Amino acid sequence: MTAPPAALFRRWVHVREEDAAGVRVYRPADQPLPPARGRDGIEFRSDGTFADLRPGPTDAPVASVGRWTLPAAGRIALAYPPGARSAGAPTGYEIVEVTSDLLRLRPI
Amino acid sequence: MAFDGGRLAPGAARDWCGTMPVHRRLLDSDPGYARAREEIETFTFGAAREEPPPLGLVTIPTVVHVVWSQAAQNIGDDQIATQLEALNRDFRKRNADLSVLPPVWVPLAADADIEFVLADVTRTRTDVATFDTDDGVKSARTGGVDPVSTDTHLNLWVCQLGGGLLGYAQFPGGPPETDGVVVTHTAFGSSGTATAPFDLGRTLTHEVGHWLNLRHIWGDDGDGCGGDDFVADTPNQAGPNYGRPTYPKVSCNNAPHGDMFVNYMDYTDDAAMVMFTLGQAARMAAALRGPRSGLLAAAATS
Repeated sequence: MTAPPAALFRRWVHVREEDAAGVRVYRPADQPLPPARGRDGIEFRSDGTFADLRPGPTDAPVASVGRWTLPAAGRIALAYPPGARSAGAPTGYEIVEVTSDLLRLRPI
Repeated sequence: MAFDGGRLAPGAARDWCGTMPVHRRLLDSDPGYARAREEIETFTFGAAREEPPPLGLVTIPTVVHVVWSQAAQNIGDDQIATQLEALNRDFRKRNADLSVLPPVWVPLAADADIEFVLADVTRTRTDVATFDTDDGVKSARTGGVDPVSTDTHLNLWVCQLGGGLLGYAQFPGGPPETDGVVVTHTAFGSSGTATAPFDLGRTLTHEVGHWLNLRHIWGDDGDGCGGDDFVADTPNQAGPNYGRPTYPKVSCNNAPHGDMFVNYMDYTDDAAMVMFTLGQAARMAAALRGPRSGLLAAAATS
């Protein structure tokens, strides 16, 4: 199993207006982003954990923390603790592209 | 029905992890907050069942804290004025765009009988380029400014938020020293730096709804159908709506009328959200009778 690209390990914000053809587009959370009501996001960490970020009940993002694994090249699987996964949250992605300022993920 | 709780001791939850979000962080880290929220919901449930007489017009003194690192973020008094005007229109059902309502929801649209009067504006220059949801903007210690008299005033912080976030709020029952609402300056009011499609002041209408104990209309359960906003006259709805949906937008077997995406507590664009319901107005009135009764007491003696 190869390690994912180092560029993956940061906090990403979903810029849904850039989504196309079933692929989700993410931008780094620490760079300027167009404001939107209710952006979700994801943070990948090199310690094997990830945080699924969703707008919380008062609009500040709420994190569900789980563990990622690499079931196949270019794929990342997400496992949540019991009850922590939001309805509709994907359990895995194909990593279509990752650079220093862009992440494209296809839910699988 | 008396209200005898729902308030944390001052300073009870001051040492938080800087990256966890407000409500979840408080629920996880402070048993007192979870208990306060339970007491508030018990009180609110009882108040809704008893149908107490209307409070009449409640006027809430409001302090705006402008916190800026770049000159454009030091928004003008005119932009603040457009925001207060929009907030008052929305809470008094005087917004002209109520005309976009599908007829089925016209009888449910409520005058919440709450108005906001500008009590003061503070201006603070900061070295912080963008603020996060860790409440840094709410304390001078972290580059922001402390609130004023949260028992008797609504505190609004206007700054540059990071991550594309428009704003966030704090429910009743949280720590007094962080009580209030934060809005990014480009979504505040309708002039100056306010930018479409969030330039009609509805971010603040939504956040003040939270501050008066309203939940998101979809029930905060992701895209599921099991969440509840604890308001009887809003339809069950799967997840948030964005942009400007077309009626009817059906989810969770809520046909024929579908999601009430015109509600201020959905996630649609400013131009698409135009109403609170009668049930939401009753829930806000319960917040004023209970956990936010300091506002009523102050109004009675002013």
